[in-house]
Amino acid sequence: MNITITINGRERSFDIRPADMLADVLRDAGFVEVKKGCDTGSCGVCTVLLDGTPIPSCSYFAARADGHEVTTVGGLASEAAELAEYLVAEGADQCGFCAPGFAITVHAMKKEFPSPTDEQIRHYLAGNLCRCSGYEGQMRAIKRYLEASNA
Amino acid sequence: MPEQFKEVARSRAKIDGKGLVVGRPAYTDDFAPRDALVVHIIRSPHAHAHILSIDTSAALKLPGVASVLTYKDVARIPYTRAGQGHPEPSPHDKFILDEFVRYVGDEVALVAAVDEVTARDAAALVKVEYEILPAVLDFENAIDNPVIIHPEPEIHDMFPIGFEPTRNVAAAYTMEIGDVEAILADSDVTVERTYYTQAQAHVALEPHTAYTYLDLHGRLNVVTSTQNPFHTRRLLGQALAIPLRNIRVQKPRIGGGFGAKQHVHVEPYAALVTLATGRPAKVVMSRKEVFENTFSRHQMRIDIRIGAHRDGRIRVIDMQVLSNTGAYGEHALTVFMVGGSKTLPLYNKVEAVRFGGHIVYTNKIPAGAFRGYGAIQGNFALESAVDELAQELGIDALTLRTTNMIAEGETSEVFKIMGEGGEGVEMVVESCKLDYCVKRGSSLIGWNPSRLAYEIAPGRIRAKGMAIAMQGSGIPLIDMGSAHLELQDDGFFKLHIGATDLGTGSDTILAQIAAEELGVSSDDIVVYASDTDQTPYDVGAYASSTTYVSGNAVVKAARNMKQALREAVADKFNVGIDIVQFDGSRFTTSDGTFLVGLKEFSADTLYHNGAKMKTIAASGSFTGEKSPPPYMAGFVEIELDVETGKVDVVDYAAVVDCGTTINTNLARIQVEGGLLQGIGMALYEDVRYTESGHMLTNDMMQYKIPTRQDVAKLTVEFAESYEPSGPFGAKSVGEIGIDTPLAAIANAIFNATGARIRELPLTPPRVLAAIQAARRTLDSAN
Amino acid sequence: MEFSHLVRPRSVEEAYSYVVERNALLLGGGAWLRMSPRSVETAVDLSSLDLRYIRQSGQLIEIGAMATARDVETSAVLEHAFGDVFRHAAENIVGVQMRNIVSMGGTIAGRFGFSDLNTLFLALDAHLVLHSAGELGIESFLAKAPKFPLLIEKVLIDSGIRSAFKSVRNTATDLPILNAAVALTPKGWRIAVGARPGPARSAPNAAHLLGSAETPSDEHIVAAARATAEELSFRSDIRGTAEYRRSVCAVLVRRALTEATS
Repeated sequence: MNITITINGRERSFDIRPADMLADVLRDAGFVEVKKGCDTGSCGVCTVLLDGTPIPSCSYFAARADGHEVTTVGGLASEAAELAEYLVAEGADQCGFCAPGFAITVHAMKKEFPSPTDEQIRHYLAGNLCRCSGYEGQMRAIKRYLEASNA
Repeated sequence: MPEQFKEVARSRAKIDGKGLVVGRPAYTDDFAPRDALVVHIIRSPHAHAHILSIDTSAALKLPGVASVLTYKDVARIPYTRAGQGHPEPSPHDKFILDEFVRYVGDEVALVAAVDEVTARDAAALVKVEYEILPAVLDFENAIDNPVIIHPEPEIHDMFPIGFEPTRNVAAAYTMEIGDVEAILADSDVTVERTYYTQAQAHVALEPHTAYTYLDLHGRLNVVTSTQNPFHTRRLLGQALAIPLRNIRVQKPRIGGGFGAKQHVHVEPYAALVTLATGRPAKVVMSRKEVFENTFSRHQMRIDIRIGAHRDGRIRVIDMQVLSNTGAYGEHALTVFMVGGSKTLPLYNKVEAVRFGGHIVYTNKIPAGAFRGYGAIQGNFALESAVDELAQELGIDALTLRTTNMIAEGETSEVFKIMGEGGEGVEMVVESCKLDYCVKRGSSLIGWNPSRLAYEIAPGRIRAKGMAIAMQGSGIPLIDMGSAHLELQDDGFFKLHIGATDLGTGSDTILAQIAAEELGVSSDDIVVYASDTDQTPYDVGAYASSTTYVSGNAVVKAARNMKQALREAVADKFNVGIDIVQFDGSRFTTSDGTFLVGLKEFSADTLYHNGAKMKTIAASGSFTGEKSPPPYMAGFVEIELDVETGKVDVVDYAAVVDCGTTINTNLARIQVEGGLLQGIGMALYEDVRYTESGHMLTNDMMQYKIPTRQDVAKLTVEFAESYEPSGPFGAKSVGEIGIDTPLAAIANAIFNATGARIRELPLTPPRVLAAIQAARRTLDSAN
Repeated sequence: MEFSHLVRPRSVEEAYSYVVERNALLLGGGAWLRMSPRSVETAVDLSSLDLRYIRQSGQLIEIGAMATARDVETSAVLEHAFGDVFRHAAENIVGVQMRNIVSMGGTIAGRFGFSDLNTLFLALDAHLVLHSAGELGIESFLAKAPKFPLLIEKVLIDSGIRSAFKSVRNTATDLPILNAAVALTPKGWRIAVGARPGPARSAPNAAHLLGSAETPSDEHIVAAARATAEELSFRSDIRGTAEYRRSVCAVLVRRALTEATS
C-alpha cells in the first residue's frame, strides 16, 4: 500500500507492506539515526516524534503514520548538536547507540517539562536504556543542558 | 601527579561523540550495501538433535532467493569462535555448520535472499528432519553424563587444557600452593560455603551485525561490529580455509561490546554466502537472536573454604569452581581461571591457597567473554565468604579486609602460577592504593560498624555492605598491541592503531597518549583504527588491555617518532643528532639555535627538501611483562522492604585505583557503567530456560537491565596512583567497575536482615524467601 | 504478527463490520499484539476514529478505547476524579514512548496478566461499552473472553471513587511481579489483584469483610488482605513463585487499603 509521511519537514511517499513497522521504513529510506535495538519498544533507540510525541518506531505500524509528521534527530539538528556538547563534555557519549533516541526524547521532555526535577528526568527518560554509561554522566549532562537552555 | 601532564589526565572530548549523538551513519548496518543479500539463519528448535535430512529444494525455487547452504556445503573444519591469542586456550569444537545441533538456536542452515521477508519466507520452506537426542541441561549433572555432547573425533584442544569431551568436560585445572588441608585443619575458625552465580546477557544495544563482499581483487572484505578484527581475520581464515592475505576485516563504530563481540558470531555466515554467490551479504541479528544465539556469561557454582586465626588473620583459601560453558567451550578455561587469578591475590598473606575445578558442556547457549570475565563470579563468592568469616570471628568486615588485603610493594604467589589458560607471571604490585580506596569509600558511604543497618521507616531497612576487587591490565606475554605514527604536511600526525574502540573512547585516549609523549596537542593526532589492511596488529579490546598494552605501544611509537624526527632534522641541517632538541613544536640545537618549526618541516620533508625528502614514520609494539591490577573498594547502601523483599540501591560509593586516569571523564564513565552492569547482575538479570532448554528471557520485556530510575546515586572517585610500567602511570579501568556490587549487596542484605543469600540475582522473591527462612531459624532457635 | 491487509475504516460501524465479516483483528497501539506469533488476513487501524478521549459525562468517566496509557497517566480529568491512582498504575509501563502508543482498548482486549491498568479497572468496576453489543462488566470480560465478535468503544467508570494501586516489580519499568488495586465503589469495597501471573481477578469474599465502611479498622484491613491471598490463586513464573505472590498479595492489598482509607 502507498503512504505519505512528512519526515523532518519533507513529504515522502512509500510503497509498504501492510505490516511494515515505521522503524524499518525510515531506515530503508536512509534515516539511519533511527536504530533498532530490541524490537519490543523497550529500549528507546528507535524513538521518533510522531506529531511531536515520542513513540517507539519499531512497534508502530508505518501505515498509521500516513498523513502524519515524523521527526527524527536529523530534524532537530541544532538542538541535538547542543545536547551533544554537554554529553561529550561529560564523556557520557560512549557507544552512541542510545544517543539519537535519547536526544529526541529529551527534546520532547523539554516541551512537557521545561524545568524538570531529577526524578521527573529519570522517569521521563526511563524508556531510554543505556548499557554503557551508567546513566549518571547523562544526568549530569542533561541538567547542565537544561540549565543553559532555560538561562 | 596529574598536574605535570598536558594531554593525559585531562577530560578531552571523545572524537566521535557529536556525530554519534546527531545520528550520522556510523555503525555496520548503516554502511551495508543496499544490494547486500540478507542472510537468515535457520536455527535448531531442539536442545540436542541430529539432522537427518535437510530439503532445500522448495526454498531455492522462491524468487529472490540467491542461496541456501547447509553443512554439506561447508568444509568440515573444527575451529573456535573465541577472539583470543593464538594458540587459543579454547577447544576447537565448533563447525560453521554441522549435522548435529547442541543447543536451541544452533545454526542449521543459511538462506540468502534479496530482502528479509523473502529470506524468512524461504526459511519456512526448508524442511529439516531431526532425530531429537536427550539434552544435558543441568550443569551439576553434566560430568560423566551418559549423554555426550561432543563425541566428534575431529575436535581438539590447542594445548593441554584438561579437555575431556567424552566426560562433557571442556577444560579443567587445579593448583595448590602450600598445604591447604593441613592449614584448614589447624585453623581456629573455618567457613565452608557454596555460592551460585547465574548466566547474564550482555545486552549491548546494537545487535551483532556484519556484512561481507568481494572487492576488486577478489579478496573477502568483512565489515563487522567486532572487538577484535585481527582475531576475526585469523578465525575466518581458518574456518573457511582462506589465506589471511585474502581477507580484510574492518570495524566501524560499535554499539557496545562488553565481551559480546569478542567472538565470531555472524561473520562466517555472511562470508559463506558471499563466497558462494560472489555477492555482498549481511547478517543483522534480531534482539531475540542476540539473546538466544550469541553467548552469555558463564554460570558457576563456587565452593569456598576459608580458614583463619582467631585474631583475624586469614590463613588459607580453597576455591573450587564448576563452570557451565554451554554447548561450546570458547572461553571455558580462561574465564574459569580469572575467577581465581583475579580474586585470590587480594588476600596474599595466606599460608596456603588452592584453586581448581571443571568447566562442563551443557546443551545450553554457549558462554563467552563478558566484562569481569570470571573475576566477577569469583568476587561474589570470595567477598561474601569473607563477610561470613567476619561474622564468625566477630570482627568488623572492613577491618578483616584491611588486615588481610594486599598492599603496595607486595606480591602473591598466585600471580606466578595462574595466567589465563596456563602459567602466569611473577609480579610485585608496584601500585596499589586499596588501603586508601577502602578508607575513602567507607567515609563516603558513612561506614559505621556498629550501625550498618537501621530501620528508616516501618518495614524499610537501610543497610550497608562492602567488597573489594581487583582485575588485570592485559594478559602478559600474550596480548600485544602496535601503533604507527606518520608525520603529515601541516604538522599533524596520523596515528594508526589496531586497538578497538567499542565506544569506550580508546581512539581518543590513545591520541592523548601519543600527544603527551610527542609534546603536541591531541588535536594534532588523527586516529585511524581497527582495519586489518591499514592498521598494525592489536589483539583487540578485551582483558582490559587497551590503555595498558595499546597505550604503551603508542608511547613507544611516539618515542621512536621523536627519534626519527630528530634524525631527519639533523640530516637536513647537517648537524649531529645528539644536539638536536624537539619541544613539540620547534627543533633547536642544544645551544638554543632555532633550526625549524615542526609545521614547516612537515611540509618541507614531503615537498621541499629535494633529495632529502622522505616520509617520517615510526612504529612501536608492546606486550606486557606483567598485568598490573587495578583495585577498587565498593560500598553500597541499600533500602530493603522486608515485606516484599525489594532491594533498592540508594547509594554506591566506588573508589578506584587505576593508576593515572588518562581521561578522567571517560574513566569515570567506565566505572559508572560497570557498576550498573554489576548491579544488574546482582539484583535483576537472569538468563532463564524452560525444562526443554528453550530460553524464556529472549527479549527485553522479559530480560531487564537497570534503568535510570533504579539506582539513586553513584559516587565514583579515583585514588592518586601511578603505575611505573604503564603509559604515564596508567593501568586499566574497563572491567574493574563491575566486580563489587554482587557481594556488596548480598553483604548489605545480610546486615539488614541476618539472611545470607548465596545465589543470584537477589530478586524480591529470593530475598523475601531468605528473610522468611532466617526468621524461622531465629524463631526455632529461641 | 503478520497480516496481509490493513484497512482504515472511517467509522466505528465500518470497523466493526470488518470484525464481523472478515474476523479482522483490531489494532489498538499494536505494541503488544505484534509480539504475538499470530497471522491474520486483515487488520483494522482504529487510530483515525474518534476514540481517543477521556471525559466526564455526568457521574461517569468515559475513556475512549484509543486513549493511550500516557493519556491516562497524565489526564487532568482522571486526576480530578480519582486522585493520582491512574498515574501510579500507568507510570511504570515500559517507558514514555510505549505508553504513547499502548491503547486502553488493546490493553483490556488483550487481557494481559502483566497489565497494571486492568487491575485498576477491575477494582473500579469499570464497564466496557461494546459496539452493537451493549455493556459488559470488565470482571466478566477478564474472566472469560466473549465468543462473539467485539469492538470495545470505551470504558465507563463511576466518578469520584476512592482507590489505590500498589505493585511490586524488579526494575522500575519491569512487568509487575504482582499488582493490586482497591476501590470503594457505590456497591462497596472491591479488591483486585493482577499479574498472578494470570489476568486480574477480584476477591469479593475478602472485600466483603470490609463492607461499605469508609474507614475500616486496621484489623479489618489486615483480615481482608489475608483473605485476599487465600481467596485467589497464584502460579510461579520467571518473575516469582506462587508462594511469593501469595505472601506479597496480602502486603500489597493491606498497603493499598491503608492508602485508600487515609
